[in-house]
Amino acid sequence: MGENKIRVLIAKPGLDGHDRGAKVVAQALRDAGMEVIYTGLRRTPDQIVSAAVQEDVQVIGLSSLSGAHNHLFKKVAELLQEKGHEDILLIGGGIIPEKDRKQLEDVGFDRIFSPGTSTEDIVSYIKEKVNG
Amino acid sequence: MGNQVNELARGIIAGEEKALAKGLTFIENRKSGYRELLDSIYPEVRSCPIWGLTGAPGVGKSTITNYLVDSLANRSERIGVIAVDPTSPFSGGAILGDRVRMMDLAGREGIFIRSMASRGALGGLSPAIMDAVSLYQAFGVDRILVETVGVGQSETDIVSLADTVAVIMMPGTGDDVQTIKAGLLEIGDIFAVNKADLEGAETLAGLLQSMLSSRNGDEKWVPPVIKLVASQGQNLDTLLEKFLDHQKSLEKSGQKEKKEKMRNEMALKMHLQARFQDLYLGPLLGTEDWEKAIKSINRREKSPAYWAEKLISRSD
Amino acid sequence: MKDKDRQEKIQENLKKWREGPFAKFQQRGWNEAFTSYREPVKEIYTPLDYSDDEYLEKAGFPGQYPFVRGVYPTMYRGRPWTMRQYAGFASAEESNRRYRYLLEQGQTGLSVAFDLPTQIGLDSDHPLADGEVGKVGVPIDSLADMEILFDQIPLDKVSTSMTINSPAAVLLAMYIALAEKQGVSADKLKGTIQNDILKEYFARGTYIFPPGPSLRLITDIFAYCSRELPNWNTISISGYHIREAGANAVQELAFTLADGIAYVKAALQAGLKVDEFAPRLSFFFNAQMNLLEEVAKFRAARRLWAKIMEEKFGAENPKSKMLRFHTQTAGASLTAQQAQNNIVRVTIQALAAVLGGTQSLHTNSYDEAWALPSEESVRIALRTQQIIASESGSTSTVDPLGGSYYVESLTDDIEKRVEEYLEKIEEMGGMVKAIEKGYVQREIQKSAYEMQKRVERQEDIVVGVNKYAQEEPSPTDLLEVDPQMEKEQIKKLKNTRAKRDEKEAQKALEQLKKTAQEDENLMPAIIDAVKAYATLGEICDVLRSIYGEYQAPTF
Repeated sequence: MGENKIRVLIAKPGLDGHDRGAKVVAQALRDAGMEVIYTGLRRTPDQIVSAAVQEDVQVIGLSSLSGAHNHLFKKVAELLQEKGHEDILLIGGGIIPEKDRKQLEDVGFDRIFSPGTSTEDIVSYIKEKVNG
Repeated sequence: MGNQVNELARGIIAGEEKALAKGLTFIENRKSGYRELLDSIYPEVRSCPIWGLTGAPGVGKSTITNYLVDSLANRSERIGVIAVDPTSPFSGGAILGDRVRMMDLAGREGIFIRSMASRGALGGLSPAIMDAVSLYQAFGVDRILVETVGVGQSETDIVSLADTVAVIMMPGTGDDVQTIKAGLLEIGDIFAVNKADLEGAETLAGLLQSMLSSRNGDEKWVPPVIKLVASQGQNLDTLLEKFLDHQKSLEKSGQKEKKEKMRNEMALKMHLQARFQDLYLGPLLGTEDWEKAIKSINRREKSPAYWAEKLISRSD
Repeated sequence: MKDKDRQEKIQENLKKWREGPFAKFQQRGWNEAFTSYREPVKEIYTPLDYSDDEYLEKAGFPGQYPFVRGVYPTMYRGRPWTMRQYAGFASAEESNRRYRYLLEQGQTGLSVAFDLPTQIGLDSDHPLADGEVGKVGVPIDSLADMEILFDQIPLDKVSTSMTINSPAAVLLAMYIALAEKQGVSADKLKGTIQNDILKEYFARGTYIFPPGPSLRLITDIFAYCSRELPNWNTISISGYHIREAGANAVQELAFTLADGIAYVKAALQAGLKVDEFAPRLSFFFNAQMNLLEEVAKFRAARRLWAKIMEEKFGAENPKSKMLRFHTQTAGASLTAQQAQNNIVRVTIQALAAVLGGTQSLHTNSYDEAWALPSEESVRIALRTQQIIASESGSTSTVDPLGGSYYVESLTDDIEKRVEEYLEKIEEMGGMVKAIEKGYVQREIQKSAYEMQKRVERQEDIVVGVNKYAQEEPSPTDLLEVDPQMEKEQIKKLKNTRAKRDEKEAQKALEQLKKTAQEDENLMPAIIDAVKAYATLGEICDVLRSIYGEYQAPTF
């Protein structure tokens, strides 16, 4: 009885206006049968986390190409921990150097995808992590 | 599992946001135990006004909802929002984009917003949305706003859910005589023509006025037609007033109780349908009898109607 | 009659060739090929696809209507294109050093990249600016920062391009105020502001105000500059970001020209005469990987604009009909994998721009899929242009690909398809309406998604990504922005606010508010405000309080 739909929040923290990647990923997740809550541009870490909590998503995907990821991504991770939501799968993508990727993975990101990642890889990563 | 349900119920009743969020997922996924969850919160359900907003994609529903929620929250009301978007019939997935317009509300005290996909409900409202309303009411909100995309059946479904329904339209999108005829006219308590700065707004508003005047005359409430430019905040305060007026009129005329009764009937029907499905249809699917029936229908030996009778009587 | 015979003969022989030798070889191997807008490409192009019957009407000569062969008679034989590298870093001081370095290296124009808070009209201490100050460009809070940015750079000697849109009027005002301080009169100023708000709504995202007031700001700039800054390019109508957002070549051109049409209409409505402002309109396109298609795109763009200006708007001055454009190589084509391959990609794209007749060019640096470019990678990017200009021979004659059956036929095809889009947008009530309806966004989104899927199915090959991939160490030596910069900038901002004559600043802001509520040109009031060291955020807040803010449509 019933099915466990995967719910994902896709957000653009900060002021970066490049939403091509975020939208392509959102559409790919939708086409893979997931429910995607899309938040649009210019979101603060606070807004992202409180939306994620109310929407009870299993996954948060952040995208940034403006170089502000170290600051903003980290804040999202911290807020999630603060509020006791470490169980939410936290992933990100954009223009993010290797060194920063490792750092973000240390502060609570499950995975930072690099440019050129196929949407299928993202879909199967999420499915595997969420459904076990 | 029993523990989980109890814990959720307790949290929801205690007004814990996280419990409400999890509880909504629970009923949405129809997880086993969801009936128990509804059962245990039900005594704590406190009825509150439910407002519905419906209209085609892109008419500006979310912008309007955003304004209403913001104004009501400023009056220190606690508001629950349910924003419904259609599920893709091909993938079963959905993009729920209403939050784009409501992000400024995110994180504000006393505002709870949940995006829901229509899921299997064939364009109508899924039963889970009815139950979501109950959860909100046990959690404790002063008002619930439900936003639905006006395609197909959800428009008429919203009447059984909401006390007050606003139908949002805009000029130049085929919101003309054709669509108005399709039943929208009967369901609205308030009609709003958004993007009234566009060409054709006057005509649309005039058309609505004239069609509404011929709507059956025994009602006390005459549905107003309001012209808005929601993106610039124009006339949104009037819309809010009309919502409040309609609510008062319901209370005065005793319609409120009638609405409540209708809503409960609808909920009972939906749950019964779900139970019938579980009990009768579910076990039949794919059985030998089922296949036999399909074959016979394919060969035009017997009609689907015949087989429905036959199968039902057999499963007794 | 003779021509007809010839055509028939070619037809006949082509048929024979196709059924004979071609068909035989085709069995050994044959790959499908498409344009970026998914039209199949033929195996060969012949005089049947392009004949020079209408040469004089359709092509003509460089510097003459319809400018398809180039906007100037001598093109690069007279002077190469302007090599202009977009750069701006962390702080006004550091950017200033970088500009002076680039000028010493032989770069001929400056291009200023602003950080996102500046582009969205927020001061560096605004909560939303948190973490963004100095990240993608230089933060400019007030005239004080501008003074540092151009320290020891004589404004009458350089041409400066500023990538600024929604608050373009404010940054231009600062530039004018600074020139005055340097003793340079406004009519000596040369440069460009991007000032193209419409594409921000659907492709780039740094909008502030709704379309109506945004267009007023733009036409105020047109009017002001036509009187005071005759050498200033008042707008750079940009297809670059439209392409980056996922559009194909036809969409890039169609939406850019549709934006252009909207600006011209707005200016005419504001009472300007077409030949007063049209000569200062300029364009900005993307150079993608498909070399020949891109050349055709640039050629088609010139003919289309010339026709639009002459036929639709009745322009008489030839300069009003000239589509002059800047090009940047495609950022979205850069790969993080095997990053040095990007040097080759950029070379091909830069060549497309040159063969397409660009007036100025920015070449991307190979490491930009990882981070902001390092000094070394920026140098290679600039050298790429210098090699094309000095060694490749592609500048020896004007429009060297003119007359190629393939390129000419593509030029015609792109032109036709763009015209179809323009008609459709016109039917919707123009570009602003098409954007508000989400039509443009949906078209681009669809194209972007399909493109991604083709790469994933390996129908489109990206070397190093979905073919010839290999394990590799990730690049080191990436440019990093010191997070301390943000604090420094905020300190400077507070200092400016404390030091200025507060009464003067408030008075100027009050005056600006009054002007904004009326019909008067906004430029003088904005110039007065920046001179009083009112900050960018304060000026934009005044305008926000009157104009409101733009709300993007949902998904």
